Amino acid sequence: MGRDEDFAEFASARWLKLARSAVLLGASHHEAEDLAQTTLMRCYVSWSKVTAAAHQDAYVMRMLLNEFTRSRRRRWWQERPMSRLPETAEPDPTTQVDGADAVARALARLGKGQREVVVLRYFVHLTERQTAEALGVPEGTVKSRLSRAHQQLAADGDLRALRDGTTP
Amino acid sequence: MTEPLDETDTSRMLERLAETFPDQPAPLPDLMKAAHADKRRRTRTTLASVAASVVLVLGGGVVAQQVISGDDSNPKPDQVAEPLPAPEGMRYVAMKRVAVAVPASWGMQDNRCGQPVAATVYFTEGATRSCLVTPEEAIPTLHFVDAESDEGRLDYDSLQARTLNGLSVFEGEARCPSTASCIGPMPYVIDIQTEGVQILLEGPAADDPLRSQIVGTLRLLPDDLVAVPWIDAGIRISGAAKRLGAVGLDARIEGDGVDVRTFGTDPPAGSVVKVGSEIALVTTPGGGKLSDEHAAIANRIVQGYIDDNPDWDVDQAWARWEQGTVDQANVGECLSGELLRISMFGTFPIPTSGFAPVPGSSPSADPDPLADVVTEVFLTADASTEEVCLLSVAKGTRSPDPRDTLVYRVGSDVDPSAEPTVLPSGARLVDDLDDVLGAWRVNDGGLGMSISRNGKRYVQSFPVDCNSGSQLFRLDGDGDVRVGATMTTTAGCGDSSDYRQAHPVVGGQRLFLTPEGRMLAVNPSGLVAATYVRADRD
Repeated sequence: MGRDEDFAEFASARWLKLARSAVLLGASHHEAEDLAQTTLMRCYVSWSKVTAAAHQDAYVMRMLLNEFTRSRRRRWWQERPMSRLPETAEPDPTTQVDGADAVARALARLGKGQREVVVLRYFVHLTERQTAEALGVPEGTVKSRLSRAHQQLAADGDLRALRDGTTP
Repeated sequence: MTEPLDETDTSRMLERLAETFPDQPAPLPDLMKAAHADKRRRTRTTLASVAASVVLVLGGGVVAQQVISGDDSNPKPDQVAEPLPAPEGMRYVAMKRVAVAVPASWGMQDNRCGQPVAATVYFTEGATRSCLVTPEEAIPTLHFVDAESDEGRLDYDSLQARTLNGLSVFEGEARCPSTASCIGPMPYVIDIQTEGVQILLEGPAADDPLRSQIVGTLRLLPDDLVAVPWIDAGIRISGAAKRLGAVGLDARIEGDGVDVRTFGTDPPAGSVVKVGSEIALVTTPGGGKLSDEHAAIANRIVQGYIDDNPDWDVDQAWARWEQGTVDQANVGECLSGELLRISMFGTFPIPTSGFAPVPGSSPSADPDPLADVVTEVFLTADASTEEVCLLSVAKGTRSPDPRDTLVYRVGSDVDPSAEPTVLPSGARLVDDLDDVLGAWRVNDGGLGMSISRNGKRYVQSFPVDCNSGSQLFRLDGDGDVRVGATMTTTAGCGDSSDYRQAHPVVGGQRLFLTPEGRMLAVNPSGLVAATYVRADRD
């Protein structure tokens, strides 16, 4: 197969996982789609590195995390001098999804590092070593972050209600 | 007692949230198209960088100049002007490979205090002077945004994918994203994602023929032409030369090259020139190192990302300001770090004598007629620079101007669900600013506002280092609060969930004080829009 065919197969297989991982990291659906697309575009540009990676999923997840971090540091709006009152934004309907919202709130309460290891370990299902590679941290750090994240999630009120069935 | 949570439970819960993103196939055609374009663009940039490196090495290093040399061996910038024919009465401007024609009468970077003051093409300035600019509406502008800078793309909702003149773009009348509050009219946006460029057009309405004229000229530059890139004010000459070199342009500079900083280019950013053209770097005289005393103060007022500076709070900010005795330090100490933000208040007289202005584009060329009412200064480091230089540090000048100014911070920590409440009995109208000078927290929790008299006091008070602004108001003798202007900052953002609605509180038209010492912002309907408590150290 040629490069384009290889890439198409690669992208098809990972698209949803990347977009959904981005959602778990805190992106809106629109952002998640953008992030997945940008990550895959970068994969295409660096195709030789991607194919040479010891673990492609870990490599691609690292790219996604980098893109996500970068996107968090962008400007949301541009301020201008105005003599009248600003518009107010409409609430995002996607944040109103009961049980999923409880998970989103619980994840949002985790530290950034903890959230990343939880997503990579329990959603992308990377091993601890691969997670460490993707994050560029020692394996021990992954273990400790996971442990603390687990404790926090277990104690989280929203998740407890979800597990008890009191959240739809 | 906490129930144990096993890995399966965790995975299952994560799936629950993940599945809110619909199971849809990868948009392969778009992805392939974008990937091909991205790869082509990167290849081209790399080639240009290599070519520029060769030029610089042959040049024997970088030296500095303040004016363009009379050396005729290289073409002067004006000799390579307008190499791309535009429709009559228009001229092309560009960022990276994206070019678009605007009316020839439009200026370049015709801004004051970071805001357009006449029809102009402009780039986001790295370091922005903020002052009480009278808001001017309906000024037609074209704003280039570098979506690949660390500041990144401006996020707007409601853009539609379409093809414009053969280019795949997202375009449309922008809508404020759901995660933000927006000030002012939303622009018409063309987001050329494959080129990393956003074009924001304000002024010409959808049915204005000028808009279709401008949009109709959108194109990519041919390989032999290139756009002069934006050079952030204050960066080292070597850094500026590197940026020019990266796009295949030759930096022309003379001088001793010691501690010299760039202030602009000639021709200005956005001009379309031939690859290999010589671009003059307009520089400051440099040489000014901050004294130890001033450097120490400057360092104290530098704020990094909140992650790196978790203990940043209003009290510390206050203390830092109170210790400040910076008088006047022009180009001087540079500070390394990512996304630093430097904030201070006081007058900010950019010394015009020390600069060789970029013709028609220097923000320091005109004296500011409103300088006497400047109450606040932000020096906002450009996120894309590797180091931040203090262009100017000024002590807060006590203006003799009797006009009172109330600095209102719009930014964070206002409870969006708080409904206006009835004005309690016993509250008295504030008609003397002295009664409310100082810092106030919003609704017992947030950091909301500082009130100053002619810039006497100001508190930089952000729990999150992100976009922020201040609203300048004036408290009239009758107690009415008049809106002045929104101040600007540009900085990186943290998590969008940190940004809560603050703007409803701007609706406060009058201030009241309760017997308990709380301050109330009351809207035109007579309802309390927000309650404040003192945040002063004392």
